[in-house]
Amino acid sequence: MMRNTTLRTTAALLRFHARVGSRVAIRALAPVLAAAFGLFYLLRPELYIMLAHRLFAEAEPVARGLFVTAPLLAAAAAARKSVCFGLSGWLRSLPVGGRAHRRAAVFAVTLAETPITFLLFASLFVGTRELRPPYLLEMGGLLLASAAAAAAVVPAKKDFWRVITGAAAVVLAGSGNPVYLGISIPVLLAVDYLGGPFEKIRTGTGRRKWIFPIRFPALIGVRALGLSGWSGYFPAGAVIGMTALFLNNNVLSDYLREAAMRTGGALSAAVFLAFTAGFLVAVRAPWPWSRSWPRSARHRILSDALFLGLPALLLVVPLRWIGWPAVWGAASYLPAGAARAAGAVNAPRESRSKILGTLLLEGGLAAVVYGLWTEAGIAFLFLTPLLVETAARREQTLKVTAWDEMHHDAVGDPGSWSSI
Amino acid sequence: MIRFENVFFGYEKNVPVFQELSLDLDAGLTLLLGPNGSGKTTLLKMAAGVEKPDRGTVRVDGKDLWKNEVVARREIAYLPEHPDLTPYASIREIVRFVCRLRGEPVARGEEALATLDMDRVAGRSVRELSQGQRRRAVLAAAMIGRPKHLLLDEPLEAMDRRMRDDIMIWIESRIKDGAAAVIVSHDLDPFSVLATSAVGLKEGRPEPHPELPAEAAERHKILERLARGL
Repeated sequence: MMRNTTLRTTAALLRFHARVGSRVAIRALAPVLAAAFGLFYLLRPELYIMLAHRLFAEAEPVARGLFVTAPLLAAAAAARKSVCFGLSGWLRSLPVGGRAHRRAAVFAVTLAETPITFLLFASLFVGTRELRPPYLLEMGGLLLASAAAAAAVVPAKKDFWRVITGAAAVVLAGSGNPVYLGISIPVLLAVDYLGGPFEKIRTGTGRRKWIFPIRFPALIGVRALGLSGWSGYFPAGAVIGMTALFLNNNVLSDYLREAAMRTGGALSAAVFLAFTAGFLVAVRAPWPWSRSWPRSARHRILSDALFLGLPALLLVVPLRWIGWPAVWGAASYLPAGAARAAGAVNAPRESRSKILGTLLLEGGLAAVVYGLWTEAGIAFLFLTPLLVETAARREQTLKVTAWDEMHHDAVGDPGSWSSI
Repeated sequence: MIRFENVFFGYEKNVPVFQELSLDLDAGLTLLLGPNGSGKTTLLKMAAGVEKPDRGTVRVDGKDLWKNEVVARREIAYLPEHPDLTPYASIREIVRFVCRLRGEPVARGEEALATLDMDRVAGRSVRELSQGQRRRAVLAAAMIGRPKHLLLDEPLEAMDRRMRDDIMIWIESRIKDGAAAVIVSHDLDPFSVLATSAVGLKEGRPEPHPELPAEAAERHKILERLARGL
């Protein structure tokens, strides 16, 4: 009897969310299609066909996955507000668990994404029509990617995990590669498991809380580094130059050529991160008082990782000149590399003098591995959350005031950084 | 309430500051007393989430300070002994950042700066401020919102008379609202009347006095003894 009641309530909840999702999709359909047709004729059909061909017929799986991820996540995030509005109210009094509420909301957001999913289907058809009919598998992958995007944006108890694993599932499912697609299914299940039950969307200052803690630490980082702190671009540029010379002066098979490009790309990013992190650690002392603020160690690591990683994106410009594999080499190494560099910057004191050497050694090894094994790029991406967590745990153990406590006032004013 | 459960801590290996420390710091004003080097400042740092215990847990209103970092720290206002401020940001930028983290409007930060006469120098960095001004800047950040846990290390040090009065009024009003104030001070007189409890520290060992006698002379005698580590 109880079971029947729960099933009936769940079915009613799903019907309710199907209506909500469909309504949002219908509301978005007209403007999305109008914008798509407008762009189609504005940019001329040839350009659209070429872009669709590049994306669905020529691009590497990870690149394709990343390109598919952007519009799907944007659509899901836009739909989330309409779908999840009011879900924390009386609906929670129904005899349905928090996880069921979250799954129903994911279902509704997936439905709401339909106009964008439809456009991706159309692009897939246009991009591959001269080569082959679009595989059902690829279409299934896009559907799964839209569901993963919904799972990534619907608020859950453990937000960090649902965002990271959800985004990874979108990239994998949207890649068009059967193996990655297969991997995306357990990853999507992991989003459901790790995310936990539905959680109310934080309103008010929530958005600012997330954005500002990145901006302020970045401001401190920029001022601490000054102009000379960005000298990491020079050794990174040298690596790119040497890669270009190596490629121009050697006759290589396609496989080796791509491997060299990937290695060069990843190595240039690793060198930039190592030099910048090494400089940062020398000029920006730990700030003990700031640890009493409502900001977690994970926030500190993530903001440092973004601060170090985002400027490294500039390397894409010269890397594009070498070739796309070099760009992907750098791009797929960057998240893990930046997380590792942020961890090293915030590591306990004894390892700080070794930061440059350690990061160069690790980055060099990672670049070689990536050169030999393409899938290492995916492995690095998956490694990123683990590196962030490890770095956060280590940062917590940092005894920030130990030096002051053991030297006290014998060295002037230990309470200020003004001696820097 | 701030609760220390079986806490072990040391700045260096094999040189413990605290071993198996268990202590509750309740609402009201608690004075943390003891001679130099007894661990008062370190205890306050652990309560503020600046230093993590090597072992054991610190809970703020039941939330683990190192597992539930953001929520546990939201109601904490910490005034360190040395006002360490980054030289790479102005006082106003720091105060605004604290407002954002506490979910308070930026105007509250400006009000706090004005209360402490820091609004005219708020555009400056720490390098351009005197020691007293630096302490006022940190205090302005501590005053933002309605923190339930005040952790103040020598709050009256380097402050002029008017500022001392303002600080005492603020502490008193927060305690009336049900907040817990834990104060480290070698200057007993300003706080002895307000204090509801005291903890004496001697070589890392706490001697809690959850209730102080109402009679002034008796109370002063206990506080003096704890402060001297006798």
